Amino acid sequence: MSKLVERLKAGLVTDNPTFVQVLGMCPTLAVTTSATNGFAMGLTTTAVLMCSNFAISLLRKVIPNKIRIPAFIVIIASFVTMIELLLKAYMLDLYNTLGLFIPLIVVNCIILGRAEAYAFKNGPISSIFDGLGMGLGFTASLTVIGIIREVLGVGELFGIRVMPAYYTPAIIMILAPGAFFTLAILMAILNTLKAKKH
Amino acid sequence: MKDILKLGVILFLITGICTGLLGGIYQVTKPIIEENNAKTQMEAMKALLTDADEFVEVEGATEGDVAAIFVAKSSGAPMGYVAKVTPNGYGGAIQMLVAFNQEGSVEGIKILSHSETPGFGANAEKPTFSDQFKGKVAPLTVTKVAPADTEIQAITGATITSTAVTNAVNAATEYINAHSAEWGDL
Repeated sequence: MSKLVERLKAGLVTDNPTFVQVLGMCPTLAVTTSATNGFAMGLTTTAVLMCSNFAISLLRKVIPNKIRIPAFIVIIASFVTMIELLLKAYMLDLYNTLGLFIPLIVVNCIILGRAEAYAFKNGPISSIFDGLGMGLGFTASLTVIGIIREVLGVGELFGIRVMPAYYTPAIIMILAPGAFFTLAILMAILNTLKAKKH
Repeated sequence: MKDILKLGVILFLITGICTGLLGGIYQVTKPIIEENNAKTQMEAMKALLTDADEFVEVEGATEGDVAAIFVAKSSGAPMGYVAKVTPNGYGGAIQMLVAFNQEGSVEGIKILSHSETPGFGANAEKPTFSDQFKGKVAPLTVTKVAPADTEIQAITGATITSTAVTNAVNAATEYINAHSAEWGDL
């Protein structure tokens, strides 16, 4: 049990994919224009990550070392396409928000990274939890970045106006530079906190 | 040699199983997805031409940016047209619908999807811009000051997007004016 909890903690805090491992920067920078987008992207990635970690862990004794990367990519791409089709059919609103970014989950290096670093070497149950932890860590980071960018860039939070009427939104925050600013400042704060702890 | 064969067979099996699963899910979701797409488009068309109860697609109506034409009918009688146009904006293709009444003036436009800059070109979706087209007759031009009858006021900082949308309305009008006589018996 403690191993599973440890996996969750690793994903959320100690090995946070965004702020500690600095993986999956493309979706992190591109989709976090609003809190909703960040949250939805995080959850979709979590679903793919749990599925792919589970499948790869089950197949780890079948897949020869030499062809593990192509095998991983095929499995991950299949899961992403399945989720895309399912979203399109049953959750159209969510699909419309994420749109173009869903196929990009295939190349999110967090997923390939976890397959290689964890699922290929560990059992299926702890691999699912590793996927869940990493996915939730990713979701939390993206949501926080999304909240900051949406509040400053549009004056809204989850689509509801939160800033006083006289606040003029800083549009740059929802454009590409805003993503870099937010990520850099958050990372600097977290690193300072970590340095103080040691 | 034997090793290569073994690796090949294993990889083939993995891809084969994945493809099979994907095919299955595709078959299951395909009708639902098509229904969803048709519904989205139908709702957008209904919002533009509220009196119409039926939209008949004109076969083979594509030319330049015009992607599709629908003849709108109200209890069987034609009462207008909807053109699906896909002009190129600042950030890529814009998908939009333009609705016309039978006299050829614009009833309204609706942007279905786009990748314009948030805060600038993306404002084309907002009524302050798109409502300007209502009741106007193309050819329309873009202006930066208060617009006259055949003018559309550009979105601040997004002249390219404004021009693309306006030209798409012009292209749709031209196409409909040139061909609408052929659609009488639809």
